[in-house]
Amino acid sequence: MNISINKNSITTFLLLLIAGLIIYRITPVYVPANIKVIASKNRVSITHIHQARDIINTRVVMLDKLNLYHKGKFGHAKLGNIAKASDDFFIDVDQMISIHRAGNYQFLIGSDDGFSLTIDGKRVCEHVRDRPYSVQSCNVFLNPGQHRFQVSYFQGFGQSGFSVQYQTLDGKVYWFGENSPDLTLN
Amino acid sequence: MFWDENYHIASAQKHIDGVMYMEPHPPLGKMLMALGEIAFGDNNNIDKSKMLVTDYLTGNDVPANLKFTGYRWPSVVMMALGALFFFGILHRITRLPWLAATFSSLIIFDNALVMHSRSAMLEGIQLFFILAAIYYFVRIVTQFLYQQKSILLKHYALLGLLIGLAVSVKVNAFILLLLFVVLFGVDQWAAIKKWQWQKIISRLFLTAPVGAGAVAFTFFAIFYLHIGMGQTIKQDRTYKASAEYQQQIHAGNTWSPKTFLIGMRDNWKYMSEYAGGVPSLDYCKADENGSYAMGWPLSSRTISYRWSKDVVNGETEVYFNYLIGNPIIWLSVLAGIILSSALILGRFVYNTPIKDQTLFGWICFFTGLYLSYMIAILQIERVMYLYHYFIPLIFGALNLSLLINYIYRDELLKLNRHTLINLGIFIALVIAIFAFFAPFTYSLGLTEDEFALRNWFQFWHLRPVY
Repeated sequence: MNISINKNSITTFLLLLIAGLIIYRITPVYVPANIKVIASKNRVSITHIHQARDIINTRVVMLDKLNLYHKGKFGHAKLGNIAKASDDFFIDVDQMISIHRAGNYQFLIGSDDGFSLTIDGKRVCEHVRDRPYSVQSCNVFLNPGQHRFQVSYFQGFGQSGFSVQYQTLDGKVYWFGENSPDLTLN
Repeated sequence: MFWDENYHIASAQKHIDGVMYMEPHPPLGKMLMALGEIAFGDNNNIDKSKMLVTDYLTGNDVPANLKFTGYRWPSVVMMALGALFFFGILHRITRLPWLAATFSSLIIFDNALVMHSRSAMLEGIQLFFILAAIYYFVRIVTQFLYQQKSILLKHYALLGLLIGLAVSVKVNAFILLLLFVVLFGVDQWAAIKKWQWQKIISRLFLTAPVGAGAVAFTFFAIFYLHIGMGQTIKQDRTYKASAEYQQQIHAGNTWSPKTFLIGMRDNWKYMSEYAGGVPSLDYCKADENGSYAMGWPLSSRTISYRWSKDVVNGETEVYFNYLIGNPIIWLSVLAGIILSSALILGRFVYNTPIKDQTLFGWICFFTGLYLSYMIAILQIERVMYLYHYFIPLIFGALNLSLLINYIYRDELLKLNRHTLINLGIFIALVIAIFAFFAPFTYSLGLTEDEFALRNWFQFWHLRPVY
């Protein structure tokens, strides 16, 4: 095929370039839908993870992994600020997991401000008030089988961020949302 | 209701009920809205008395169950008919009906034009008269060029009538007075080339009064009707009318020539005072909807006319009426103006050869109209809005169509397949982007993520309200 450069071919190139740019711009960002996350905007200031909620609106977002601390603030690397708010919101995750080997599992939870982790209805660890972003280690013994994993986070005012990782029995660290030989999401 | 509908619907109702009022814009647009309302008669059994004692209809003054169809109908229909004039203009110039129909997409599928024309506002009505005037101008000139038909005084008069109608809706249509200048230039080109100044001046003494007289006659005739129809004053709402004018109204003499002179003077004074009181553009205001004219070609700033919220399946959806142009059309029009300016400069500065003199002339004409309007508007100090760009947008869309025709004239005449495919891709893009932004045009629900996908440029100043 003979392709010559003339005004028609240049125009075609420009039109296809524009069409391509538009398609790129209007294509929604995709991440694997591993975890269901609920973001709830509170009407009043939040200072405590267990305070009574007065929710204005909620958003349901599917995420690949629980890494919502990006460039020093709350947000997903691809989806941005999934809460669509900078202050006074809760994030809730309620996820069934399967454990394949019995042992002591370590959940590494980073938060700015507070969080609370519950497994099978038992509170494992928490930080109830505001703080700068810091990662807290939460240890729990889990038998093989299904378990209910629930974590809540709140952002009050100012800086923000939330992340959850876990360490398998062989010492390897994964993001919550990524499957490993010891832990898989249902 | 939204934006200026609150004013115009109240004014239109005053025409129906014979109530005197004054407004910053001439009355023709509101008169046609009143005609639409009478024709539909949707609100005949509704008490509309509160509409007669306010200039800005809102809140409790809006009668329950009031339907807006009749008030909005003239703008919708006239803008739709305006597209036929757009087609006619291109058809007359290019003599390729299929090409004219293709480029009519530029006016049919523009989100801003569609959004605005669906409401009871003045621009849809005004653009009809503007397109009609340009069509008539093009008809006279093409008949002169291709069929050697003389340009007669009646042509100046009829053109003046159409321009007068456009000006009687909004006075920014005065830019169309340039049509007379060009028409005279075409009419007298042979004499101008030979510098037969006596012939030129004698013709000018005939054509100028006829053209300008027709504009003035139409403008004042519309005001005569407006003043004549204002037969009562409600609740001492005098609009600072002089004692003489009020006396004439109370005496029932609104149709007399004397009342017209007094009423015209008072209306003029009111319009001048109102114009003087309009604030300047102030970007420091958080809710400033006005914009600087230099940003209009890029659709800056958009205007959120109205929005409402709902929660659907647990997710917030917002229904917008947003004034935002189809970016493919607006940016192409801008590119067209840049390219045609380069073409014109190339011709006159570098003596670049011109392959089609007539088409080049039309490109000069529409580029000139576009630039003249923008230069004129930049001199205005009061706050202006994105929809004030509609007139040059139309000039620019015509210019773009002719420029593409100029660049690909030979290929289009030969129906070159590659050129036709390119044209098809362009029009498909125009229609696809119109559909993509249609939620802003037709108030279809958008989630926050869907809104973000449409928020392409910061300079649009789209405001999420989730």
